[in-house]
Amino acid sequence: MVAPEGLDDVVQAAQQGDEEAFRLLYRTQQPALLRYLRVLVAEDAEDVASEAWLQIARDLRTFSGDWDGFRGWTATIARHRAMDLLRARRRRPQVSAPVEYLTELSAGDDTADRAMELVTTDAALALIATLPPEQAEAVMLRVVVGLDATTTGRILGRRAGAVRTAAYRGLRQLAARLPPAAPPRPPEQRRSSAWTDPVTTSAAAALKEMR
Amino acid sequence: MTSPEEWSEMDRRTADRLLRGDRTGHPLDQVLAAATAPATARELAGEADVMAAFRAAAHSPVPRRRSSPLRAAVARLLTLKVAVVALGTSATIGGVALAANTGALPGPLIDHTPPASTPSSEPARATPRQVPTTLPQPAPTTTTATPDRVAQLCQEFSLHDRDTRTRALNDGRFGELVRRAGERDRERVEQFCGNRPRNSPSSGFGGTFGPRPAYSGDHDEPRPDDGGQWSPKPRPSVSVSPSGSRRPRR
Repeated sequence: MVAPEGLDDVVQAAQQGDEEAFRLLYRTQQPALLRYLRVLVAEDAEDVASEAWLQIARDLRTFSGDWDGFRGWTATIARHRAMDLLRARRRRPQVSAPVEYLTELSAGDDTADRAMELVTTDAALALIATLPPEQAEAVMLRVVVGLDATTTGRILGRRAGAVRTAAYRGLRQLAARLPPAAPPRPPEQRRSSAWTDPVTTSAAAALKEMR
Repeated sequence: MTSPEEWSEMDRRTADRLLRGDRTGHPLDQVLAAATAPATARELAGEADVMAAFRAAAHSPVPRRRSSPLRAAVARLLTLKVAVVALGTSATIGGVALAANTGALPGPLIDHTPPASTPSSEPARATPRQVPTTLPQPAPTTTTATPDRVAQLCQEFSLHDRDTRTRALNDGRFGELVRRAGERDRERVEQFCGNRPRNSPSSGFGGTFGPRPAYSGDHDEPRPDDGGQWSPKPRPSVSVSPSGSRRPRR
């Protein structure tokens, strides 16, 4: 794969009409956008991503910036299209479905241990989607789309500090919502149980109830 | 819920590392790694459509600014202008046809009328009452797109400014033109219209759709000039294996 620095040139080539360059941008950025959109609009993510890419293809020549800028720009477009949809729907996607998905996943396996080894992209996104929206978005934009706090803040219309806080809280919530799994390696378990101790208990109870 | 106090410095560091994508030994490693896993084929299923859109955008003259009210107004004005010109054109054709039939204007149009078998009928045809019988003559020809009709379409087409021409070609009105030019492509149609011999009566207006130099303002068209990049090259097979390095770090 092309190193991020190399992708600056790829962005430029695509702006000049190079098809293969644009194809590379798509393959590199689409998974991140699609996953971000799945957290925002669930099953409509594919449609919204398509709309976003049509706009990206159309407006690419008006864009100015490097690969970092491109990632932020495309995320902004994806978010706008998602917000259009949400406005039309007049509601946020329900978070209950992902939770069911998760419990299904852990219930299907004999041990929580095993469930954790089998964390799929779907399950991970479903888990993140259970977060309050601002936390989910902060985590997705920072971790999955790979944006810094400042850029994420610009996209979300918030200050970088607020984004940092939202991301931290989101991660902590995620840790709390993990199935009470024994991580594969004992040393990790020791560390992780200390890390999540204050909140793990209640989450474990909740998951047990659902099962 | 959690309060900031519970968020120890150590946890913040761990969170920062998680956000950066470092392996921390925390169970969330796996969740975040899964969330940033390499693309699956399904996630890239829309590639062909997106590439088609990219190609279409690359061939459009100027990147469209989004829904500028000014552009819309200009487009409306142009449409009006086209309508007026079209009206004028048809009126002129009618006039020419009438004049030709009265024998006042010997010209190519005379050839369209079947040779009059009886010269004596000429005066009769020249009476106003007879005009309706001569007017329908162009009617069948408009449906099969005679040179006149094509010239008119070319003219209408040329009245669109460069930016709106590609879009205009999607209009069914220009269907015949597209069919004649062979492709729904702005340049093809421009070329077609520009190369047409202008011998039809309506070509008097033709100055506006003359040969390409009239509007070949390629300087304002940010098309890629690099022929090398644009020459059709074999596309690499769509191997869906973006490596794990997709996850950007900073």
